[in-house]
Amino acid sequence: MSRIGAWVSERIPISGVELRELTNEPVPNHLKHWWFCLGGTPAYLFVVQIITGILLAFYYQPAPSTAYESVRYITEEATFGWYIRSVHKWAATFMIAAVILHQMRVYFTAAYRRPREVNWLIGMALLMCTLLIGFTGYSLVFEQLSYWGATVAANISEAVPVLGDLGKRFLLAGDSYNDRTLSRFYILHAAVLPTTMILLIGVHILLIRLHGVTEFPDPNAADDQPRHFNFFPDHLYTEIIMGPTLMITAQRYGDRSAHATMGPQADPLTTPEKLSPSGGFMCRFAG
Amino acid sequence: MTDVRRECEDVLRESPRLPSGDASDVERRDFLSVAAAVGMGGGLVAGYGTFGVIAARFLDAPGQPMGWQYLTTVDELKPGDSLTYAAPNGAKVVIARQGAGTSAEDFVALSSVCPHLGCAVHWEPQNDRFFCPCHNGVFDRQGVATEGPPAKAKQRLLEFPLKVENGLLYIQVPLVALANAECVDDTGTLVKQAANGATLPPQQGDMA
Repeated sequence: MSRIGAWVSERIPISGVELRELTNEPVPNHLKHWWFCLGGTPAYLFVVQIITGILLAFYYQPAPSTAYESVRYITEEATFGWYIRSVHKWAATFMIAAVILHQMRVYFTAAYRRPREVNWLIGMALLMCTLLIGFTGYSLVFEQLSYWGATVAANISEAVPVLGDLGKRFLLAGDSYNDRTLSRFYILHAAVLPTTMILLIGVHILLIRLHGVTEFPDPNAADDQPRHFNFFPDHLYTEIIMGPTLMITAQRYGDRSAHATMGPQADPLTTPEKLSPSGGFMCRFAG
Repeated sequence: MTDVRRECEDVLRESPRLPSGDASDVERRDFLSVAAAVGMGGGLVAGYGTFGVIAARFLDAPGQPMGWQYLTTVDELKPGDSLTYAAPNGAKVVIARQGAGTSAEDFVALSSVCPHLGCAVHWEPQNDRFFCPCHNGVFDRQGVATEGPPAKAKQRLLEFPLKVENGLLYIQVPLVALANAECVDDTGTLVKQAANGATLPPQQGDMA
């Protein structure tokens, strides 16, 4: 064992003490409350999305003639395909909810104030990316709601002053939904937006480390009580518990009773009778 | 009263020492810590391990669906003759009649894909062999490699199942087509552009 340890430490010259020093940020006591773990929650779900998304990409074919059939294959024929797709769908829904709750927490506890305004803006950019990645992901299924939802959303974006028309043309790869639109959604969903989010999350965490976590003093705490606890391992354990809890919840929703289903295939000639997504934009545009 | 008290003190003094409350707490705490760590670690390994197995099963795609396709009537293919058949997935198959009987055992259907590195083999009637030009692989009438790298690796051409029903010859092949796969016969003539699930007509060839 010592030989293996020596081999590793020779090639990766960071000792356990140094690693602990590097990661051991003092964490304010209020983070012992679960409500304040909403920053790590979307980060964990993002990792889940990357893993399940890569798995789905093995079978998904982003072309109008093949997209719907490939999703049907994943859902109905591939071994555990329904499970992977359902976890991807529900984790996306939870991620949007978690990011919104995280932003709400930051807002209502006024944690966005000087000098953390830039991190607040990065957080808002991450929220926008999360919504956009949910929207493009839902469009990839290429069912009726995907197609007409994308059409409506692109036309809504056209209403934005000055940049609206450009945004719509960029999103649809033309004036309207065409045979190049789906591949554009795919590359946005699977490459551009995830890469952007990874970079933003990196800067987000860096700024948190530089500024430290906002203090949220407990008025009932005794004066001699320590105001911080260790990130490693105390807070890490909390996050580790959070991960499986989220996975179990996503799997509960993703099981046979509520797994990701498919509507009718996209038909550019027929707008469905009921187009408005049930449950609002957040839920329906997340899978 | 004093005697009773002294006796009690003697009993207590002689009785085995009970663990103090502090030591018991520490032991219990240690045990619970280890148990919790083992439980959590085991749960994490089991949970994520299960997900890993599921992911591996998901990626392990099942083979293509197979189906029986009509080839020709038994009478049309004389002993010693062959025909080239293009499967719906674009794969080319040579079907040869090697016996005078009318059962499936009198026919053989061999893939034209060399098992060495996937080049296309072709039938050389003058040499009575299949030949792969990529690395000079040679196969006999039964598809068994006799020369070249496939022979060293003891390989043979993939054989497709055949069956005869009511004088009609059928072959079992993958039914899923590659988009726009072009199927050509021995002369390089386009047989048919494969479409999904399409039944492609057989082409007569000469193997004798």
